[in-house]
Amino acid sequence: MKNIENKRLAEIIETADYQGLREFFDGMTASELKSFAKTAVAAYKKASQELTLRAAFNAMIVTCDDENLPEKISFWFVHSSTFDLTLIKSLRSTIAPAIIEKLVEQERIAPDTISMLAEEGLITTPDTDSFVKLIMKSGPQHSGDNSYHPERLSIGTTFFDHYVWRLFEVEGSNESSLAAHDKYSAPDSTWSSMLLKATEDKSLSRSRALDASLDSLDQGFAQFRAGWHSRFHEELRPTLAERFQRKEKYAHLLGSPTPSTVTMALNALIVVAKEYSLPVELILQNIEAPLFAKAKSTALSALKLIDETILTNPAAVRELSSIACSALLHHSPEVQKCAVQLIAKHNERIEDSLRMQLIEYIDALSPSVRRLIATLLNDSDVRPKDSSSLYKLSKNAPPSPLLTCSNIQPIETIDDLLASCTYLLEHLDDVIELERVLDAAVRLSDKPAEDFALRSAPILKRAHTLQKTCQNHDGVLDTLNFIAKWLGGDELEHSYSRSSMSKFMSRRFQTIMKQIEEKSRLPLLSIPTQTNGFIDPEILLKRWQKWIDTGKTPAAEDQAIALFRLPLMRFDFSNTDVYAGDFWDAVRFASKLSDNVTSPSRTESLVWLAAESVRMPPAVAASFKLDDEPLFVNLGLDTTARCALTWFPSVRAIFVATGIRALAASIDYFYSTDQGLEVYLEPLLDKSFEFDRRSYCILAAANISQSTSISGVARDITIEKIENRSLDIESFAIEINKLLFHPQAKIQRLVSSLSEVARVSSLHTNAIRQVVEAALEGGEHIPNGFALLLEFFNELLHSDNTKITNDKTVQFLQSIAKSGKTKKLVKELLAQ
Amino acid sequence: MASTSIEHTYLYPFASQLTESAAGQKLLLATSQNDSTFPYFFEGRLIKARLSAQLLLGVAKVVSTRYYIPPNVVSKLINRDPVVTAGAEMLRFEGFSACCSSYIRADFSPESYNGQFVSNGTTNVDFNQPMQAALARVRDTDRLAVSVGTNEVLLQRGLESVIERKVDLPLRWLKGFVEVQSYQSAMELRYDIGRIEALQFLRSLPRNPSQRSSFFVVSSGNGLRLSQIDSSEAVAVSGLQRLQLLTDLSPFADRLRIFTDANRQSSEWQLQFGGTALCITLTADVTRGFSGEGQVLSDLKDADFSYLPRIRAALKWQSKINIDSLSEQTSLNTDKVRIGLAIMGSTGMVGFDVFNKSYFHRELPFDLDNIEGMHPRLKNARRLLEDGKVTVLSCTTNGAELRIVSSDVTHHVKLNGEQAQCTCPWHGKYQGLRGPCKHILAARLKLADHSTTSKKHEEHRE
Repeated sequence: MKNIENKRLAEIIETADYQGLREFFDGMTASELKSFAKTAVAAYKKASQELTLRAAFNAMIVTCDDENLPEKISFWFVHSSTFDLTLIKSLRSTIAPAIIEKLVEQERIAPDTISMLAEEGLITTPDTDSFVKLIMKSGPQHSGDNSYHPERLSIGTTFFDHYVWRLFEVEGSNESSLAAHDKYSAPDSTWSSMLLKATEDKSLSRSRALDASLDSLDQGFAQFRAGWHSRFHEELRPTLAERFQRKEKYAHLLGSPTPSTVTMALNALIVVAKEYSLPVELILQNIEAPLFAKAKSTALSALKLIDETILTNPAAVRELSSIACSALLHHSPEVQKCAVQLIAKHNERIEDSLRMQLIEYIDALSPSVRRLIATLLNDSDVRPKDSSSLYKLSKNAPPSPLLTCSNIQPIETIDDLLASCTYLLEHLDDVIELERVLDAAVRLSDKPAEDFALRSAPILKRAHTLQKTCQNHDGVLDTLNFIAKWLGGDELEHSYSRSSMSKFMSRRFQTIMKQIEEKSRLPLLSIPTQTNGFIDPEILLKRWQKWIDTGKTPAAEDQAIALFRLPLMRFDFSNTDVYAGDFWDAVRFASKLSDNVTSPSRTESLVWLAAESVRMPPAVAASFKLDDEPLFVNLGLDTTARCALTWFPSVRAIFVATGIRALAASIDYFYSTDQGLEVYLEPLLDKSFEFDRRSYCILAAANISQSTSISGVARDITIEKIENRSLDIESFAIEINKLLFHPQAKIQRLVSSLSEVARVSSLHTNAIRQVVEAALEGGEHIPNGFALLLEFFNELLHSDNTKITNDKTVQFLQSIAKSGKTKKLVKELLAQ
Repeated sequence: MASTSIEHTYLYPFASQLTESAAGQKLLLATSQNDSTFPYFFEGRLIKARLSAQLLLGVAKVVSTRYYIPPNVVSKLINRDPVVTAGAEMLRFEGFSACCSSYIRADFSPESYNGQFVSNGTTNVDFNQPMQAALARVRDTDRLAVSVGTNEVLLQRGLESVIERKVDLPLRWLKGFVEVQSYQSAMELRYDIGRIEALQFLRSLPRNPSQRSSFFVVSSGNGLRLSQIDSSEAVAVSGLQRLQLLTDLSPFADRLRIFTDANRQSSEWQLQFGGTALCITLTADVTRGFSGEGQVLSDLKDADFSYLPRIRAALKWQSKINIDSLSEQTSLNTDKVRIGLAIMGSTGMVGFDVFNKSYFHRELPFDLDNIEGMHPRLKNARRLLEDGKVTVLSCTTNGAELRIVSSDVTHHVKLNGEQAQCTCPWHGKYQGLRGPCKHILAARLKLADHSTTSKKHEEHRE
């Protein structure tokens, strides 16, 4: 029987038969109504059309109570017309509060609908935070005729007295807050304009509005939402007397974690302090926090307030000076200087406790301020200059690439080889591990374990899995193809990549594979012995000897890469005269021991192309070709590029050029820097790398990269080169100069990076001072933020205890026609 | 599919609140019901009101933050509460970030408060939003009285409206709690710098670094700097946004200490403020949670639980557990005590204080009975063993080789003392840095079983 009735109800809802619905429920008791709640809820969940939804919703309203309303139910938006008041009123005295609560929480109802239901006596207006958020989101719905009418508020006049103050108590959320509403509303439809008008009309207490906005700021609201309250407070234009009345509240806000709140409170107190004497206790208790603010202006304002307070309360000079010392920890020299000047201004004699405090902070101070403190304390800051802190370029040549990195340990057993393969598959960009695997795969090819297939099966399976997901990564795919072929005998596919480098990789793998299949244990010539990709020539000679002993010849690709991996200019190859043939002739030609080109097919032989590329680096990109395509183009940023760097270390300078182009694009066009660019900076990390103009160019550019890791690498290189005394100040300064006077100069980034370098030691300070001085020899376009660089330079000069010695720099600075801070700094620099 | 979370109920006698009176402010921290009582730990006044409030807020902030959201995962905000431990005059508040990559603990020593301990213990403490907002308003001039738990009068009043909050605690979040101490106990002090250097260094950290960027902290003059180049003395760190809290608090700190483990898979950053300390422990990568590290797996695998009750009985909420005196009390040698404490750490019964290099007693207020069940690797390893999928190929003094039949492939495991090799991708990727894979665990379990059986055979022959 019950089932039949439930089915009937479902049908009535389905057909949106309102008359039927009224007749169905007519005369039912409360418990009878409740028994149909499940059917009503199910019908609501199922409904998708407007009419059906309305019928189901009203069925729910009349049948559901707080107890039988499901915990998880998603409502559709309800309008006032959605409620069938006749039906509801005929059956219930009130609507279940849980339904209204959920509608409000899910923001599926408008405040005016709530108002309507409350007026009908069906609900009590909720007083939850969710409802306040709903009001915030709905907005004041102001008519826009520039006059304020409380009755036009979405929830009516009854709302006004209570809920308007609740708006100041509830923070709101990302989408529902006063700040969020006003940000996307027309100026005359915002909460702030409505509330301002209300205070003007005196329908809202101005005094309470002022207090409420300050109280909201003390609630720890998020910065965006707190910003609305500080703006609103200022829009009320508090008078001096009103501000004075609220001095405690302002003072308390100085400890707020929100910078805009602190600034507002600080400015208010400064205004008050000019006319009224502020209680000194109030300042003493609250002024320290803004001195730690990141913003320079906030810390300066706090010092200004301290200054004003001392003027009106001279007795508090000791305590306030002590607090002012906290500003010495600020990162800005301007703030530090201001603090010192304040202390000097109000303390004729520095008392012992203050002296101790100043001395404690001395290491945190900018060099120029340190000198001021020394004067203040009648101390001498002139530290004897240590000759070790004077930077001079060392005349020593860079060390041999064989000495600047560790040796590669060859794999000895099949087990270790399989372990390396397992590792390599998960670290496919580890090109040195790849070389170790290639080497071992050839050397151990004649003695596989009996159960090799079984042991290597998991690795093969993994390689197949990775092959499916790495279709677009040339270098990775070539490596995976090789491993799959080696372990499983799959056909080694030709590379269909457009990248000639990838084709070359593929060719190399094929020749190695052939050697493995032949079980020739002869060593690969091209396997590096050092982690920077170089081969120790002594070891190469031994490998070569083994090939001679068997009367065989290594593959052309193997020979070419071996040649590229030799430290040709750092090793005496004259003792290789005993070896004849193309390879050694090419090595002697590449290392400039000989000018004879012995091969008749010079333009076709890979090893001769390699030799020519090494001997004449500028032509390298054009001359080293594969199937008529230059090899060193389109290297990309992935494993291919990393492989290329270790395969061709003797011409690695050309990769720097590729890096410059990519990095310049990212700086000029504000593209987000590709992390992969780091690969082109990697050669510079090797101490054996010989820097040329291009290297300094990429080093300077990387220092201003927006990527923290790229600029970090550049800083590390700069620091290390100064330590090794191998940074050519002039070359580096020329490149810095180009970046400085570029229309899109990034002064902030440059200063930030160079100051990190200068902070390392006095030697680094000296070197960076020289770089900046030389970089300031002249330029046409004075970039924005140039004062920041001059301020940095000034600190460097103070720190280095020196003055400008470069005449061109002096002339350039004299020629700058600027006003304000730049002018002041130029004057200060030239006066030293 | 195994459950990934447990339902945990926070049961508070009242909502934590900061009340104001003529005598000053009073922070009433509600403690969650343990057994049948609401713990009442501490009554007193925190000396540095603002700093203390900031530290408590810091704990709350980390607990409610998810530093990393995996791609295609919708972040579910779970309202978790920190854990408070009162013992031997130390108050410790600890918690985990939602992503489990960051552990935070604020330690209040006797120098930082005037007050008395009513009892010892560990429980959850209610950190509701209004209380946090009130804490943000605390200034140094305020007198901040604190009550952790509450006395009977208030309790009776509170019991009339006990606050019950059911939350689904992800197992990985709980696992983080037991994993972190495993790293901490292996950490060594790498850098210890003063206030000014700490301030300069923390302020120099990039504000919006890429989550995936890795850095190395190296010394620079008297202070520290970030480098991109690894070196033996460097501390590896990534996900620098996890250190933002330290930057905010650095003006008030006396010292910054940085600790790291030998493999540099985690680091602890400790700001010291007189008698108070804030420790933030980070995984090597923000995408990695402590829960997946598996450092405790070896401990659990080898666990000889027979003597653990003796150690457990000797734990009396010490804030510094002295291994020698515990050894005397339990009549166990110091090695056994050390291993025992490590195992107890992996079951949540002790935490580790890196600075003092000692364990402290606390018992996590969660149902950790099924702690081994929380470790799928160990569970799967035992299953491999039970299903007879592990075969010993050779076992000599030089090492052992085993074959493990996995789902559709056979893995080869080689063991040599602490060294282990496996052909599975997990081992290939992490090389044991995130704990052993299930195959290595299964192999070690098999070998332990194998050597016991061999001994019995030999004894039988004799």
